[in-house]
Amino acid sequence: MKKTNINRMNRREFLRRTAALVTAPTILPASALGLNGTVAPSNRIVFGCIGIGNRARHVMPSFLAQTDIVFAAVSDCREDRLKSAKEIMDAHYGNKDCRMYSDFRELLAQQDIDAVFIATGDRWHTTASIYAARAGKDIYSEKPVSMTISEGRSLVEACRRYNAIFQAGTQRRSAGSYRFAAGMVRQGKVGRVHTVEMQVWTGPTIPYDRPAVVPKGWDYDTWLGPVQWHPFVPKRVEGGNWNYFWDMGDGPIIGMGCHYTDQMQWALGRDHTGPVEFEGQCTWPDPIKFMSETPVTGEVRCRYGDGIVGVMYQRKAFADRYIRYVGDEGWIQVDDHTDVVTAEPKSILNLRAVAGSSWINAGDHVRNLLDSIRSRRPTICHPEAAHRAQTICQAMNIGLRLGRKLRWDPEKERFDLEEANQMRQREPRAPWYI
Amino acid sequence: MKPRTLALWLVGCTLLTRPLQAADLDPIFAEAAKYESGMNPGPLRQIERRVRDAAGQPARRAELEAAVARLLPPPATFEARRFACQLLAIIGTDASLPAIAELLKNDETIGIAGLALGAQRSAKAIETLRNALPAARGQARLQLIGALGNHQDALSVENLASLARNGDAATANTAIVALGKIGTVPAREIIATLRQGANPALAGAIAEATLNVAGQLAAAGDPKAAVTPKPQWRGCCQRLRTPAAARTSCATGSPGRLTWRRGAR
Repeated sequence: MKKTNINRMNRREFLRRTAALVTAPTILPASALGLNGTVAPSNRIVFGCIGIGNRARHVMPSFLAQTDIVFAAVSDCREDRLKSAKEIMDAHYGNKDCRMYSDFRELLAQQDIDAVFIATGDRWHTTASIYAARAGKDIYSEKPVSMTISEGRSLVEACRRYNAIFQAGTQRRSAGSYRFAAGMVRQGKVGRVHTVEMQVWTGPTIPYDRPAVVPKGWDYDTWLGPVQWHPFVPKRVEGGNWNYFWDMGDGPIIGMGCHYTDQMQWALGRDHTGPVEFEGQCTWPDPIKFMSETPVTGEVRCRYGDGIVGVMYQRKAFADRYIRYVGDEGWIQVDDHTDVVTAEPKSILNLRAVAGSSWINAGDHVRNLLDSIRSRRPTICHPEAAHRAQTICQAMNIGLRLGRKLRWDPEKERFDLEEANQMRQREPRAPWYI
Repeated sequence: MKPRTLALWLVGCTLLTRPLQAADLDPIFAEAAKYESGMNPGPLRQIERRVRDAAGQPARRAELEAAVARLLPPPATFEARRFACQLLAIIGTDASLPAIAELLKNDETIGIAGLALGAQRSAKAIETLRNALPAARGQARLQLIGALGNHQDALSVENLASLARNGDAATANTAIVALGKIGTVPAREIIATLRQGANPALAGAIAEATLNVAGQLAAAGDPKAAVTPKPQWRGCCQRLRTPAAARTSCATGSPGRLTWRRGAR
């Protein structure tokens, strides 16, 4: 394990710093004492960030806007991203303190870090989260929280074992529009819900491409992580294209769909259980032109034990995504792209008293995590809820891949088909284990 | 369209329009065996489709499994083998084990062999992993240890106990975690002995194994047995500098509710 700069302080450095302290004026700024509405440094939650790609940069402002946290370190297996992340942090805090680690295990070994924000590629989410829990850190992990059903269950167990506070990055639970819609469903304003429609976009297709030399500064082996080795193919790994290959991603049904299944579970009060049946059809990429593996279009239905049906459509354009709860007295819908809520009867909309930001701003979701870290109470999107929502999407994909209707026992977490059960897990590549 | 792509496309069209015969498999599999990134993945997709279509037809599936297993030995490319292992993880039976076992002998292919065997629950599949362990070294050994732990293979406890004391920290850590997953009485005894040793480099793995065993016992309706004697565990944790959360969890047998304060974790 590499020593940090802090550990490396020698006698001369120690004397220099001590002298600086002794000669410094003994007037402390109010911020150091937590006065004038600021949080004393001693009461700030210290974060590390694992994975500093596009997603991390999108969510990071929601973290940095919180006054009671500080980011002390960043980790990424790409040198370019690591350096630019440090620049962002140092510019924000006006110092040069942000530490860099190319190996996230070194970041987790830092005793001053209380919590981590994980925004790696999907294949890393569970493994990094479980390693973080074992290291005694609290966690905000981007969705999807797992790549397999078995991974998801392991994540739940690890967080329970180590008393880790975990927030899944399905931040729509903290968004005003979605909270309002879920609240109306729970209050019965659309009557008894019988169908939940969810729509994600038509899946991209990736033309095939040849392997290339791994770019300098990119630790490709760590980037792959638990995934079995695959040559570096630019069109497969860059620009988020990995999302459309089964070993690294799951396509829009999980990428976006897990937000919706999370909402469905939450609104219906099913966070600790799930549907019992899955059936669907899809179209696949044309192998003559494309190397991507996940569906292009599809329609998958799941059914809960009490008859409520969830329908996931994969079709149309990116901007056409929505969730709609249909009851026997009306419906309510959130259009994700515009964050606009519509309903029938329209009078439902007059009941909107829920304040809150759009899903684009994850500030409230981050705030919920920070409050939970301090109170040691579960977050709004705790591991069990995240795992159950993710399981629905994974079961949908398993059904599509096998071309079979599947029955699912949410208690035992088993399918009625052995092949489907074998797809609940995937052996990670050594040395990674969970 | 290149001649080779055109030929492949014509073969595909022909096969899609009539029932598949055993002999028809050969050209698709012959093409699949040459697959590398950058080539047309059509043969792979066709094989996947055949496998899907053969659901509920055991004889047809057996034929396909045999054909997929023939992609494992040379001269098939690594990517063809990888593809075959992904499929065998789902449809593999004991029939394909001899071919997979060969991959366990090679550092380059042990990962994908682990992928194929990881999901298979038959006694023979686990035996195949177990038998490969003594000769394995480095990453290959870690792959096997991890897989045997995931299979909760009680018959591997003796081997894993030895590896838990291995001088290589990665090997020892992986073996200890695997013992925790297995959780039998002999495995628990070994973990208890390791706790006494209190090697800081193994602290995390020992904590994980102890908590795993405790959780298993509690789930089996034995919460009393799940609780590690508090004084012993506390002392051990302090020596090992285990995270506070794990200390609380282990001492009580259930997750503790800690109050957050700086430096508490």
